[in-house]
Amino acid sequence: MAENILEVKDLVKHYPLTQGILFKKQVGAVKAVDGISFELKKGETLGIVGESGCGKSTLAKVLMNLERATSGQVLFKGEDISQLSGAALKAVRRNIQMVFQDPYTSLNPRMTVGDIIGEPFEIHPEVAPKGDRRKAVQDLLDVVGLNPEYINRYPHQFSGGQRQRIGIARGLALKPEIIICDEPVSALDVSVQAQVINLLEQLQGDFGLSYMFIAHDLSIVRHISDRVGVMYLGKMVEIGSDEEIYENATHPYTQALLSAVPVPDPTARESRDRIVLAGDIPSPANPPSGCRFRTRCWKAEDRCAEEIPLLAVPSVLEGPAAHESACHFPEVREQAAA
Amino acid sequence: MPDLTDKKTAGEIPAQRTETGAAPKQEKARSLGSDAWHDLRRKPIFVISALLILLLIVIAIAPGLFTSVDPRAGDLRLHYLTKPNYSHFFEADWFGYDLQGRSIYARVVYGARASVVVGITVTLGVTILGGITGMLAGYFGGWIDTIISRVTDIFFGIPLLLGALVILNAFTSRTIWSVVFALVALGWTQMTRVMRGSVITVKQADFVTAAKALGAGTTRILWKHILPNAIAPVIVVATIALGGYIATEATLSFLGIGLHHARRRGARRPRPEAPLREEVTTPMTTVIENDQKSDRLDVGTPLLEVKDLHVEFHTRDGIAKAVNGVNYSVAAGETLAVLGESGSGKSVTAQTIMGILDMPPGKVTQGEILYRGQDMLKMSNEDRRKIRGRKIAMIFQDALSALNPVLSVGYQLGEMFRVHQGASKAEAKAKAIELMDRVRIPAAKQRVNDYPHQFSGGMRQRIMIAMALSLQPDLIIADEPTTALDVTVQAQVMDLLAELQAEYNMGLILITHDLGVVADVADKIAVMYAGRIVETAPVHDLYANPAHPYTKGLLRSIPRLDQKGQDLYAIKGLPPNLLKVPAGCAFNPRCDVATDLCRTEIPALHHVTDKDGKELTGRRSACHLWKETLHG
Repeated sequence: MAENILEVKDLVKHYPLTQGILFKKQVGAVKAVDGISFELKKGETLGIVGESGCGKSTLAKVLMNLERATSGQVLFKGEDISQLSGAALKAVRRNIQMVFQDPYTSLNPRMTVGDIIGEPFEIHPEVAPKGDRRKAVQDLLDVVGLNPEYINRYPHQFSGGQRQRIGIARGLALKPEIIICDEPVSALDVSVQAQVINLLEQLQGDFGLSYMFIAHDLSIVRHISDRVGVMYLGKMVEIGSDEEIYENATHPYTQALLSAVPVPDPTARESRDRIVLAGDIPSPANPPSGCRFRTRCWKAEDRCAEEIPLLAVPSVLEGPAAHESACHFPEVREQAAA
Repeated sequence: MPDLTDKKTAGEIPAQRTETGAAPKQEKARSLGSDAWHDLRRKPIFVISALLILLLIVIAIAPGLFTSVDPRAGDLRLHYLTKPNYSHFFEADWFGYDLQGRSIYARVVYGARASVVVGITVTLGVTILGGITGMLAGYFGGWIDTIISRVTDIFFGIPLLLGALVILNAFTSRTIWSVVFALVALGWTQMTRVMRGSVITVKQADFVTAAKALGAGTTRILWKHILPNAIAPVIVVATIALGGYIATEATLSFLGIGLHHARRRGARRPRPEAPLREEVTTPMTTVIENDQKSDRLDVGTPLLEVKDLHVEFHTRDGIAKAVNGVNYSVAAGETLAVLGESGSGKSVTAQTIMGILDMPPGKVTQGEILYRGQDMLKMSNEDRRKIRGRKIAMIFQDALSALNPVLSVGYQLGEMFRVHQGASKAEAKAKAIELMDRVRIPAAKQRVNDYPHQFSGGMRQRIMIAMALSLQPDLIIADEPTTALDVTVQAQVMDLLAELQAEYNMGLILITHDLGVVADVADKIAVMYAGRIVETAPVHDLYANPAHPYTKGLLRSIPRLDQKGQDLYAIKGLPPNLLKVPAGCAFNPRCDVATDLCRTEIPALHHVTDKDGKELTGRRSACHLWKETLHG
């Protein structure tokens, strides 16, 4: 197995809720990310799925050091980067870059494509000497499948899919080792999504990138990911290889999420055994005690309200079902239709 | 005198205002580069305004060119001058004379300098000072924001004129610069507020996050990313303020506190623009007074038929043909899914059916929309209104913006019964609770007085459904009803919609881009591309055996298990620009099998037959090569 390029240990991000205008008093906290641990291996794609409000975007921001972690560690090649600042942080940023969801807001409308993709070189002049930058930008445009002559155009002259390619080119400019993709295709037209997914996969092969791929489209996540983590209300509830998660999910939330995904096959309509969850995701400011999923879980018992289930390989399960799952009663669900 | 630069900024300002004012979308605001300058030069209105401003500046610099009369020399007799002295009519007479017999024209000409200098320098001063403080407050927030905001609060409490009087009084010798100082000192806080608000919006944009992620320093972020995008509203306010400062200076002079030598009539103050406000949208489910029970049709009879519908949009860049001959029908109890990407015309068709298309720029150029056999496009507005909401209701993607945020949900649900059926407050509330129960909102009784923002996305969409159902329509048009929702909630809402549809035997037009949702609920499907229907089919047939390369491509690009580790099939190219739809079949540049015929001739919506030549019911394909696509 390849080495761990990124290790996240018990990462916590709480946003304080305050009262008072001049003298602020903390009255609580939004527990956006509440104790998450996982690792990302070199050259691997780790998919992160979960519904809005589960903390997956906050996780991305904390990993990018755009938000400071409340506690926990983010180890990049063994070095904790979560508390870095100044020049040390700037140096680390070269290694971890990000691709954003919305190609319309992620590019500065007042800058040309050349300026946008060239900005990383201005910030980190050591990466490309001044004379070579234009050439470097054109090479990047070529790499992401855009005409290098577009260098002087503005973002509004491009379609959504093309803009996303510009965003990817900017992310690649510093030759990072890790790219965090936050819903990179969900704002794109259906017929263009596949193009961008293929591009990301091709770049991964060419440059040996490791991806953390955050998305809510489970079929795309399955296609691109080697391993998948499922988040619910600030916690990782289950993590494993794509087969372990998609075929042998042992956490009830994962099972419900998978069963809810509309399958593009009308013949499966009758045979589908869908778990329709009751209610909405609770507020992360006041999460349920014990297991956070218990308020919507059909298996919940008294124990679930009292004891927080730990993310661990359940001892009672074997084979592909034996992967990390944070449930007191883990079991593989018998699926009616394959 | 930096006249040239002044002229340029002054000339550009009104232009920029129209740019941002006419098109609030970022799309337009950003075309302010060199091409916008090129555009402007060809606009007569811009050239005329620029020349006028230039003239004013020339007057300010060299008043002697325009009059030879001393504005301070008065001849009391002139005040009573009854007949103009034509020898220097345009030099002195034509504006008349004041009480001291001084030429008003000469005084206006000589006064221009003070107005221009005060107006421009004060505006520049407050913009720079306010811009910097606003940027700091908005970007850094926290205690910096607290301090700057409290200081601006204090300044807002000082009346401008009184404050200026006090400050000017402190000067022993008053010059034009003491007036400038007083007005800048009292006026900068206005710009601080505007800039602060603008910066707070811009700093949340992803491109700022992206710059931070690259390691950009604060100066770079503020200068390159925040400032160019946040400055627009400040420029708008500055243009309005410019006139205000000129008027204030004139007022001070009139009060004898400003510049005595430059007294002149006050400049006109431009009308302030209406404050920017979130537009409050009311629910589209319009309600009609008398609620007769509608006669229900059996399954299979078309409830709504769209025939050869054409819709165009007249835009600045040309005519966008959004809908080009769309035909579809939906029967009671039936679900028609209209599948397409953005720009395919699926939503425009729906808006045309509802009669909520913005016209202009939209225009129906051809076609019929038959509701129970009657053409709605030929109906009077009044008749049409009776159908809208009551017979055909619509559910939108974004429930939050479709509900009025300042009214409680129960009030909005009960409004129809209260206003249109004369129900009492209590009755309307009871009805609202009943509706909320029916769409399974838990604890309806307790939540009836809550406001839209207090509900989750899924619950708000239920409220929209309740609203659409309240008048028991025959047909519901749901435009991407679950796109904004999470998958687990999406399932609940779709189930609810399907269940209610069956219960009331309603027709449902489901507009979506999601192949999964379609497979789950549709009876039949119409696939749209570039304003045309490219394929129609019963749901099972379409997924099993598509007859159009576009449909085929969409289905093939869905990630499948056995493709793991391989490239996904991807339709090449991009969706077409509606201003430049390719000749022939609009899909031909992206199609794998296109021939020369496809590049020249628009394919008809062919009937589709099986291998033995038997017609397949309900199946059509707008492809010259449907046979090869279907059977090959």
